[in-house]
Amino acid sequence: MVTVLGQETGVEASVGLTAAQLKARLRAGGVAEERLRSWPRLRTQLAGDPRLRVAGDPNRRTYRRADAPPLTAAQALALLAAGPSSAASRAHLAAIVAAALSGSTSAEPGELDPAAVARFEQREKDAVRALAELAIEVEELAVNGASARALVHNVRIRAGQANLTPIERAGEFASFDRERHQPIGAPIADGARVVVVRPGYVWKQADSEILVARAVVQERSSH
Amino acid sequence: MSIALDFGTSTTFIANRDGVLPIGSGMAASMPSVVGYSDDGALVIGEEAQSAPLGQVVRSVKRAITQRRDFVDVAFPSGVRDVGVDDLIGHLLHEVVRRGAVRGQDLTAPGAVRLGCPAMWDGRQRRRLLDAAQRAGMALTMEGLVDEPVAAGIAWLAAHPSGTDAPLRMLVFDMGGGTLDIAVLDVRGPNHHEISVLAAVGVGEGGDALDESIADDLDFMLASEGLDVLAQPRAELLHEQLVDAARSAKVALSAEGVTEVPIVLPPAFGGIEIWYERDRIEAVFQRQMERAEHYVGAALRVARMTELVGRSAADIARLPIEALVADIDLVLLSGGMTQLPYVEQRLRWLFPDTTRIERAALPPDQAVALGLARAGNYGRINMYRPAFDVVLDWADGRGFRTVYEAFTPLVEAAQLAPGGGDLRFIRTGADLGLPREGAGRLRVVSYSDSKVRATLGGAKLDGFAVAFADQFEFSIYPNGRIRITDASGVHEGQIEDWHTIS
Repeated sequence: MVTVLGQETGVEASVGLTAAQLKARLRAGGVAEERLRSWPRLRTQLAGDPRLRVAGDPNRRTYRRADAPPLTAAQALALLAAGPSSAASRAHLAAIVAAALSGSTSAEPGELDPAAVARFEQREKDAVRALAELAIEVEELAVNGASARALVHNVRIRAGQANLTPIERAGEFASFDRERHQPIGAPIADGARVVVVRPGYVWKQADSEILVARAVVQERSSH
Repeated sequence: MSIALDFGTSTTFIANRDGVLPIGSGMAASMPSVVGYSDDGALVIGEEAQSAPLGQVVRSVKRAITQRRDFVDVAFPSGVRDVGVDDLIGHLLHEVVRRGAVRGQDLTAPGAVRLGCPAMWDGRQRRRLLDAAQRAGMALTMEGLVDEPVAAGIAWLAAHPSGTDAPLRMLVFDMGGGTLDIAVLDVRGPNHHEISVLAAVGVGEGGDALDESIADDLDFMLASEGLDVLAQPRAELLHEQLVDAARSAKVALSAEGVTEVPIVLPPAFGGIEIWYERDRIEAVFQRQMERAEHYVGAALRVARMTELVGRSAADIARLPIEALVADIDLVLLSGGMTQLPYVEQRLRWLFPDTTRIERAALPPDQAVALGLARAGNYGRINMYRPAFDVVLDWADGRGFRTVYEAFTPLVEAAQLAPGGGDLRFIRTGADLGLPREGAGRLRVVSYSDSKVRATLGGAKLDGFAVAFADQFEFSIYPNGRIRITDASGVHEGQIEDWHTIS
């Protein structure tokens, strides 16, 4: 149902109400007569309300609830980025985005395409598996007493497989660059000599780069 | 919309035009091509089969068809039993049908599936796979089988639409875990939508062989560090560690920019840390790549046999490799092993600068599945193993012989080496046990989407009247020439539509 002037109107998608029926419902819901007297202005307001579909000629208009518009790819993307939701919901949103990217119309709004869901879940699995393989490798190397060089080398190979490029190396010195470096504490002036506390990473994609994390640094004099 | 089914030696993928559809029940998109029996003797498939008891797991079951084996040994608690290969493949494909249904794909609908098979398989091997697929519920016919290198080529062609009709000659170099398959393809027609297989060569040597070579090299390196592998109390366990490390090193060194990887042995084996460099892997891989290049040469020579110009097999056998590689416009890399930069580097040395070398698809292990999903848009002709039977029948069908069985190679690469002239497929009346008098008629049974257009003695091959004689002889040449000798004389003909060079 649609709420107008703070009242439930009883306007449904399947039933069209005339202006008189709509006014009666609002009146019954407690809307003051004084407000209903300015009907021409209210009618203009209702005609512009995207939740309502107004039909008929000006003297015999009917008002019904508009069908919920399908989510656009941009809306779906925004909802995906908004935060945690169920796997099925994420898969549905991803299917809308994927359909828009591929120009396909197979993913009808409201309809879950099992193939698209499976592909979306697979992308999540691939990411988790990459993380698990990194954890497995680090533990094995550590238990075998591998050198720090060996450990870091293999971690960087794994990161590279996910198109991650490191920014600096832990323990090395660099000139502060606020685009690539994050001070561990107090602000640092550009160009100041710093020591890298932990490296950062950039995620390289086909036609863009995303900064995942800046390298965390500390001024050399305070180290 | 058709569904692609790539039943690979180690993994199975399904795909549609939108891409690969995950069917793995674990973390991978693919299903392991593994069958086995659980502790209680129940058949288990895919991921579950991988953890079945030792001896009750059957890996690489597809290879049994390549090796023409009907049974594999399974070590049940009650003793070793022979299990039918075709039954196991049928069960495995049935599981694929079930998993596809969960993903909304009906693999049982008539004509729904295109199934890949090695280009080197003959008719009997193809029929075994087809029968297994039918037992799994798929309504599939021989027309639904697509040669795997053709599928890899289609994956590339679909991603690289051409604005030209100029012929394109392609070599598909598919190196996987256990096999190397090389095929020479000729691509023609508007927008390159007609593909012919000119030659296909396959050998059972792939990534597994390299793993063993690297493990031997690691053994040598450890010796220089003072660790004698063979002198260890559990030398076989250390060898297993080295093969595992070799596999990891090979994958890591396949990545761009990685020139060395550490290998660290567990404390039980001294905790030694050594660094394995790309130069070493290339040194141990060199011999295997030299053999691979030899097979490339063999495939190119067989492909040359399709030319109509008057060159004998002896001439082709004597052609230098430089002349053969110049035929190729594009080399396509397929299979996981081709991610090793050394593979591409060697092929760049072998082929001229004008030959492009590209990956069939990314990731390369999905190229066949992606190509199968689009194979419906492409005409496909197998000139090396023609997709039709030639049958001779007589006495109102009471007598008949298959004169040429579909997918039999017209010439084998090994026949070229001696350089014998006039190489062709040939069958005589004595081979076939034909009557010495009377008359019969040739029939052509096609297993491709299109009808076979072929002539003989100015008439159609299909329906050609044969007068039996002692000296009956039927030949098909690699360039599509047909010749028959019967009581009425010698008749010449030609298979139309072949991409022969005149």
